Amino acid sequence: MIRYLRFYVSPVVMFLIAFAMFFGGIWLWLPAASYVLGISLLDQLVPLDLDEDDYRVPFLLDVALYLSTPAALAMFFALFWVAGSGTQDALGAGAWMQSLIGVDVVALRNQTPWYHFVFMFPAIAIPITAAGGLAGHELTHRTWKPFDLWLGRFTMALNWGIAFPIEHVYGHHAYIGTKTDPATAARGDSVYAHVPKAMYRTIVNAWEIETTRLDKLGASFFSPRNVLLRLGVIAFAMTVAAYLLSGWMGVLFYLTVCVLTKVALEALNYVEHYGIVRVPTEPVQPRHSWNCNHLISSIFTYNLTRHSHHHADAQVPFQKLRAYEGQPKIPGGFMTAYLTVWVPPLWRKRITPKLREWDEKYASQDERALAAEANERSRWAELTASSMVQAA
Amino acid sequence: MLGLFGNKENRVMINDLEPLVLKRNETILNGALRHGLKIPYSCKVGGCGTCKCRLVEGKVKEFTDKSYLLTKQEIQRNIILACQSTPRSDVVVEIEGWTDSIDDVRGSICNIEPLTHDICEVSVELERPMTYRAGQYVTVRATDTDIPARCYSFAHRSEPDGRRTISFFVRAVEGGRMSNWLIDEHHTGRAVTVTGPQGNFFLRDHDQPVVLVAGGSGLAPIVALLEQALEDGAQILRQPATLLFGVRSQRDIYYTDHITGLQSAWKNEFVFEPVLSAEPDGSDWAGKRGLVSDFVEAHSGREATGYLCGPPPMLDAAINQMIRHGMKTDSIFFDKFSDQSRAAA
Repeated sequence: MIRYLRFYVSPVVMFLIAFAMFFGGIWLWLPAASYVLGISLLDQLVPLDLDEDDYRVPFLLDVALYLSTPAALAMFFALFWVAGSGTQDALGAGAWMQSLIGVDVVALRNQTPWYHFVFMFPAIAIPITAAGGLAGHELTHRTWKPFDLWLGRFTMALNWGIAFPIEHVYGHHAYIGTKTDPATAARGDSVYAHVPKAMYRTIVNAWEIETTRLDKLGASFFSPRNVLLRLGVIAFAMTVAAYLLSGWMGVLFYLTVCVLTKVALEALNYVEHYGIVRVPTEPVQPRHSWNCNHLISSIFTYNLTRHSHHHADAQVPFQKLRAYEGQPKIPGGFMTAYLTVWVPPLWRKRITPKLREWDEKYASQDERALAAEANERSRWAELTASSMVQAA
Repeated sequence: MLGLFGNKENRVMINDLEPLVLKRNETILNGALRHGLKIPYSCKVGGCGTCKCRLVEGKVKEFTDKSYLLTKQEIQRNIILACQSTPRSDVVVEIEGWTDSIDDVRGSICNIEPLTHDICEVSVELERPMTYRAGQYVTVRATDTDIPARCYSFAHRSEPDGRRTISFFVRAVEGGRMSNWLIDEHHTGRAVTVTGPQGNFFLRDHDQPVVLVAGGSGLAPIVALLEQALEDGAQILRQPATLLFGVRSQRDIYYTDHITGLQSAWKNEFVFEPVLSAEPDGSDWAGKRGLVSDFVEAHSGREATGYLCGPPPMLDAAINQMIRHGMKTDSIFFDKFSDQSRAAA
């Protein structure tokens, strides 16, 4: 039973983070920050998750995924509510909580100093990305289940993630490890250099993929068949909701979080594919992603950590992804690496030995040559040294 | 009782091979790979098109919206993606140009013959013969180096029992490590490994006029196609043919004697027209000048069939012209040079 329940932890934690935000002050950011740091820390303390047993009732796992959508909506509602000021009380939620637990949360919010709000944005961007983006990602891949596909795209659109569901499946998965892939960071690129490029190219690619498709269908851009437009309507409706509930401040809070969740998602890709190379015509193999079997990261990402198998066969639902313990590993586990990338010199120190190991142990003959070129371009002396050793 | 469960395991037959039994909900691609058939694939999410095949018989359930990838004509021709399709009955599929004999064959460079200032005909003597269809290509690797492998089209048709000596047209390319290695005269005798045959660019024998477009070293598969047509006594021999050969200037033209030979054996009018894009004004060149796509029009009847090989911009422009002048997209076959499009074309 615990094997099923563990995947419910994530949506439950999201609801709790949303609930806590109503209390203002440190509650705006402390639970979210604890969530991030807690995952990173606990990953180091508990044994790796190599469980590959079958789940007999996959529907129970689907429900855990589906719960992400209301969890994401709850977090957005909490965000809109805290964006209010004075007597604003979106949907009367504050009055309702006061009647329920006797705490005047409107007053708590109004007394909260500004810097708590500043801490809040980066802190909640990660759980919102997890609630919206990760479950959305898993569902978006289920192209053969109309409800799942719709819910996945809907959930991603909640934070203006309208390009990702298209580009990720029909772009990133086809281009992974090549220069054409927006999400594969080049060796030597810091997360700050990579993320803006990745965000821009994801949008451009999605636009091209969708307009090409519409062209084939003989449909115009302003057709109801345009998935980008359909998702855009959802995102626009969220923006209007932010305005109706908390005015322009609500819109500002909302759009800030939307941008930060995009950054968070691209940083995630940065970790998963950093510096990996592939010959475009060769099949995608497990070695073309950084894999992770740290238990806590896996629970909170719906096994996205088992990225080696995910890319080698993206039709496989998350509970059936295999551990692939022998594949290239993310240094320190997913969440720890995720935090590391924001300090580029630290990331460089951590990933360099992994890249060298990849080149020596995992790369095919052709990939070794591509890797040597990538190492040259990286201008990281410790990488170019490794390629010289190989050539000698 | 069996009837209740009988349709859970469907069978798939690929290119007349022994039918394979698939597991429930297994995709055609995963089933084929599990049975050891190395059918082409790359991304497994319906994003790259490498595993395209034609559904000849039976029903499949498809996982993804094909219109993201396939053309309208392909969808009408019942093209499906092997990685996105699970059989809902016993099915028969055809993967054009693929045989289960894709193989690594070792060999060595036996001849490097300069054709122009930057193109050579490189011949490789294989350890054992390779059988292929004219128009196909192989991946070539310099066995004892770490240079990334590249694809080259066969420059001549195959023999019924295959060929021991195969050849390609290779152009010197700035930064093109494999190409530059292959045409280095010091490398005669060096070991290479070729993987193939691959690709679905080959002659469809139509009773219709044919327009061939070649750019630079893209002449190789076009020559092979013409040789094959003559060898087979194909129907198109009795149809008007046009070969537009796009190069930069006079010094880039090659193989004219060979083409003249093919031309004289053709049983209908055969127009061979080199088109020069960068020939200096006022030179003695009396032939066509400009881009190949400028001259496609005159030869692109509604019923014509097109075969093109060359760099992507040239092909895209020529194909657009062909379509504009009424040729059907499913009568236009091409092989683009860039690495990604090798897989997609």
